[in-house]
Amino acid sequence: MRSSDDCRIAVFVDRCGGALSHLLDEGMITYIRGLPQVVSCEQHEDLSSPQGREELAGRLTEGGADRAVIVGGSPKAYEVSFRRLGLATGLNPYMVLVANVREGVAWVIRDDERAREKAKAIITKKISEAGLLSPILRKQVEVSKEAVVIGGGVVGIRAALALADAHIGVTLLTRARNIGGKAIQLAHFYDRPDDVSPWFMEQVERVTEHPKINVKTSVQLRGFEGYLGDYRVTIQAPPGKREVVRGSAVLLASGHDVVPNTGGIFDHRCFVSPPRMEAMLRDAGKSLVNEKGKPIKTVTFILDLVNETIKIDSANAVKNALLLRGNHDCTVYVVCRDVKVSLDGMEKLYRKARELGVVFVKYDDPPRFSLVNGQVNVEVKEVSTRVMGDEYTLSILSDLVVMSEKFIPSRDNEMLAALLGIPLPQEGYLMDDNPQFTQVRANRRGVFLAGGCRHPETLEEALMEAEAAASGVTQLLSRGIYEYDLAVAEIDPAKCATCLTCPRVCPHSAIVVEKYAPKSIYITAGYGEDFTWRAARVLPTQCYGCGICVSSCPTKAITLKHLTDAEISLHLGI
Amino acid sequence: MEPFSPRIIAFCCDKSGYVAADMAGKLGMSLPESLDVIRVPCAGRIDSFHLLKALENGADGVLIFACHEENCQSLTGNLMVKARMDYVYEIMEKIGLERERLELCNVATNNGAKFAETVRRKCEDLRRLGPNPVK
Amino acid sequence: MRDRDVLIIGGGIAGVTVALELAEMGVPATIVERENPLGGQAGAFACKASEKCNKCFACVVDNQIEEVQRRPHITIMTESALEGVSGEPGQFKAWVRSNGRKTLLDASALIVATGVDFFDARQKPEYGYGIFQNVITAHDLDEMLRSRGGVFRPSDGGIPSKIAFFQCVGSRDETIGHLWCSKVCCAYALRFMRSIRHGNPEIQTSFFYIDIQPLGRSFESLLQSCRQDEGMRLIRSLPSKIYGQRTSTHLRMRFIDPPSGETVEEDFDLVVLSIGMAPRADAEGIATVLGIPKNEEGFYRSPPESSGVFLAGACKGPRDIGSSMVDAKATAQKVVQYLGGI
Repeated sequence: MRSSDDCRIAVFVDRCGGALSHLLDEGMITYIRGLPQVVSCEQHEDLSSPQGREELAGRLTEGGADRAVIVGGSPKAYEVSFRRLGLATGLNPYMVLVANVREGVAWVIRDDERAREKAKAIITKKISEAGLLSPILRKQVEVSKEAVVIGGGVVGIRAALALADAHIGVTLLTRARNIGGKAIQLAHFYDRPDDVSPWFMEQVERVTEHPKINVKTSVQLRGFEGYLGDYRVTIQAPPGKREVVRGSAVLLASGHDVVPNTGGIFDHRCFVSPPRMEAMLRDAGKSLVNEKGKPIKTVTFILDLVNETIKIDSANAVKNALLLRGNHDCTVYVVCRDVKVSLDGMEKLYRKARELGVVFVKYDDPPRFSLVNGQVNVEVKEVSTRVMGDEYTLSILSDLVVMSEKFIPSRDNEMLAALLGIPLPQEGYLMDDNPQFTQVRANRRGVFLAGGCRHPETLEEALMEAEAAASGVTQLLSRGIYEYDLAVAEIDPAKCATCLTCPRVCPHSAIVVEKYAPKSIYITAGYGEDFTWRAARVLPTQCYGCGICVSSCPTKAITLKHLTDAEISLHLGI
Repeated sequence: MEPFSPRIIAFCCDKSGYVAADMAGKLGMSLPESLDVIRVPCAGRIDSFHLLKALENGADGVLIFACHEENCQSLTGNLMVKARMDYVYEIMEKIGLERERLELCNVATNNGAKFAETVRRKCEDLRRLGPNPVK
Repeated sequence: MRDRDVLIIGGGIAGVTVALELAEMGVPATIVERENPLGGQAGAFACKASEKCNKCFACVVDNQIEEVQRRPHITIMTESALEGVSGEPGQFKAWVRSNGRKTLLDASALIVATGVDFFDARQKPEYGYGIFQNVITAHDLDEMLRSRGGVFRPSDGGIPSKIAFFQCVGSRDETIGHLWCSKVCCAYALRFMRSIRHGNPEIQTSFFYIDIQPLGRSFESLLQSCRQDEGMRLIRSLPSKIYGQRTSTHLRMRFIDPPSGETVEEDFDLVVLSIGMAPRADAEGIATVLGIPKNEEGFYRSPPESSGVFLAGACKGPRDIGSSMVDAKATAQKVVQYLGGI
C-alpha cells in the first residue's frame, strides 16, 4: 500500500518540436513544480525522437523519483518506447503516465486561455493518478520449440512443413487413417498445367519423412488444457491407450465437410459431384465415357445453387470446361448466377473458355432439372434474354451435369470450439471474422487457425493461410522464451466465491479454476474429507488485460493491475 | 450569460475510442474543453457503477466509445458494456435522469471525424436538456 | 542464421506486416518507402462499418502502421527509394536514396512489397471523371468519409439523395488491356453502400455490375443484408456512358432495367466509380533492378526462393487487405526459413 507522502514524481515536459510551446510556457512549468510530490520538472524539445529518448534515459530517476509523468502528446506515442527505456534505466515501465495535452488539448481547443485551463486540469489529475501507481513486473516463461498441428489435410501438412523447416518440432494429429484430406480429389491446378497428384504425394512424403514431424493417425481428441508454452492435448489412438501430446502452441487445420447431393433426380448417373468430375478427367483416356460406356458429349456445370459466395467450384468449373473442350471436344455449358473471376488469372481463363465455345448462362431464377431419354434437361432462364422483351427458357440436354456439393462447417467444429475454448459463431465455422485477428489467430494466445475450418478456400489461399499461421507460431516460439508484463487481471483467491462467472466471460480462455488450498487449512463444518478449496486463477500469459472479468466479478475479487478502480474513480470526480 | 458548457465524460476504449479521439485532434477538429476522456483497455472494463458514479458526481452526459460490433479485440467487451448500460438506463429512468445523458458510440481507430461529430451532437443535445439535475 | 538486416521495399500494409512479423522473430528489417507517411494505398481507406463492423480492415491498416513505428529492430525510411542492388543472394548491397543522400545498406534478403496503383479514371473519359463535378472515385469517397465523416456532393457540399456505384472501372476491360478482376471492388462498394445508408437512411444507392465477386468469409452475410435492404438496388447492367446536363449537376445514364428488360434512363446526383488495381507505373524499373519476372498482366511473379528476393502483397496481383496480410505473414515465414530457421 503506497502512502501519497512517499511518492516522488519526475515530470518531463515535451514541447513536441515547438507545437506545445505556447501552452507549456514558464507559467505552466511553475505551476507543475508547485504540485504535490513533484520533485522535478524538465523541458525537452521532442521526447518522441530517438535523441530525445536518449537524453531522457539518464534522467528518469533524477532526484530520486520513483515515478514519472510526461506532459506532451498522446500516450500512444510514448508508451512502448518508454516502457523499454524504463526497463533499461531501472524505473518500472508502468510507473510512467502521460498527460495528453497535444491531441487532447492543443489541437482541439482553439481558445488559448481555455486550452491552458484544460491542460492544467489534465496535468493535475495525471499527477494525482501517478500517486496511485504500483510497479508491474515483467515475467517470462520458457517455450519449447514444439507445436501441435490438429488436422492432416494439405493445410495441416503445409503448416507442419513450414514449422519444421523453421526448426520447430511438430506433432501432427489426424482423425483419419491417413494424412492427405480432400486434396487428393483435385486432379489439376487451375493456374498451372501440372497435375495435382505428384505435388500432393510429394507433400505427404516430405511430412512422413521429416525428422522434426511426428504424425499420429486415427486420433481422437479427448482433452485440451494449458497455455502458451505448455499446451497438453489428450488423445486416444490405436491400440487404445490415452496419451498426452505437448506443444508450446497449437495450430488448428481441421478442414470443413461437404454434403453430397442425393435424393430424387440427383441419384441418377448423369449427375456427378465436382470431385467425381475431377476423377473422370484424370482417368479418361482419349475419350470421355460414362459408367455405361456411353460417350459424353454435353457437360453442364451448375453453380451457385449452393456455395454462392465460395470460389472453389467456379474455379474448378472453368478449369474443367477448358479441359473438356480442349481434350475431349465436348459441348460445355456453365450455368451460374455470377461468373466468379476474382482469382489470379481467372478472367483470362474465362475469356479463353468463351473463345473456345464454352457457353456461360447466367440466371436469377434457379434452373430446373428433368430426365429426358437418359439425358438431363437443364431448364434455365438466361437473364440477358429479357433484353429482347421475350423471356424464354433455355433447355440444355446434357449427358453429364456437374452439381456442386454444399460446403459446410466440419461436424467436429462444435467439439473443437468447446475443447479449445475458442468461439463458435452462428455460421458454424471456427472463429468469427474479427479483423483484429487477421484470419489466422484465435483469441486464445498460442492457438492458430488456418484453412477450411475457418472458411472453404481455394487451394492456393488455404496454403497461404497455413504458412501465415505457421508464421504466427514461429514468432511466439522463436526466442525460446515468451516475455510478458503482468499488466493483467489478478484474482484474490480469498475473495473468490467460485461462482464461475469469470471463466465463462473471459473471451480468451485465460481463467482456470484450480485447487487453491488443501482442506486442512480451512476447517469447514459439514464438509467431508475430500473437500478441496478451489478458486479461479488468471493465467498471466493468456490474459489480454481487457478487464471484462474485473467488472463482471460479483465480489470484486479481481483487480486489473494497470487500471484499478481507484485510478478510474479519480477521473470520475469533476 | 454564457451558454452552459455541458460536462461530458467519455470512456474511450484503448483499441478504438482513444485512438479515434487522437485522430480527431490530428484532423484539426474542435472538441469542447468540458470533455473529459477516460482511457480503458476495453469497454468491457466499464462497470455499471462507473457510469452511475460519473452521473452522481455531476457529469451532464456520459459517452462510451467502443469498438464496432464484431471488431472488439476481446470479442464481447462492447456487448458487455451494452448490457450494463441497460441496467443503468433502468436506474436512470427511476430517478428521473433523461436517457440521452448516456450513450454508446461504436468507432474504429480511424473514425476521428465520427468521434468529433458525436461529441458535438451530444453537446447540443445536452444544452437542450440542461444541466444534470443531480448537481 | 544469416544475421544481417532484411530490406523491405514498400511501406504499405504488406511491407509493414512483413516487418512486424520478422521483428517478432528477431530479424531486423529496414522499410524503404517512397512516400510519407507509411500506409500505401490502404492507409487512406475509411472505416466502412454500418450497424456492425463490415470487416473492411481499414482500421487494421492504421493499427499496423502505428505498431510498426514503435518497434525496435525496424528502421523506417520514408521519402526514400531503392536505386540499385548488387551482390550475391544472401549478401545484397542496396543503394537507397533518402533526403537527397545515397546510403548503402547490407541485406541478407530483399522483400518487394511495392503494391499497386489504382486505375486513373480519367482514362475512361466516357465516365466523365474530372469533367463532371459529381463523378468521383472510390478513393475520393474514402477521403470524404475519413476526413469529414460523411458523403457530400462536390458541386455544392449537400448530401446526395441518389448515389450510383459503377463497378469494374479499370478492370475486366479489353479496351484498356486490363484483363483481370481487381477482386475487392464489389465488396468495397457494397460496404460503402451499407455504411452510407446506415449514417443517412434516406440516401438511395444503386450498384451497377457485371458479376458480383465474393471476398472473404463475411461476404455472404454482407450480400444478404444488401439484397434485403430496400434502399439498395443491385443492377446487373453496366452503363457505357455517363451524361452530364446543362441545367443541373445531376448525372444521367442509360441501362437495362433487369426486371423488365427495357432500356431506361435515370438521374443520380452522385456517381462513384469503383476503380480497380493495376501494376504500378514504375513496376518495370524495380523488376529490372531486382530481376523479378512478371506475368502477362504486368504483376510480379515470385522469383525462385534461392534468389533471396521475396514478394509480398498486391504487387503480385490485386488483393484485399486481409489477404495481403496473410500473404505477408507467409512471406515472413519463407524468409525466416531462407535465413536458416529460428
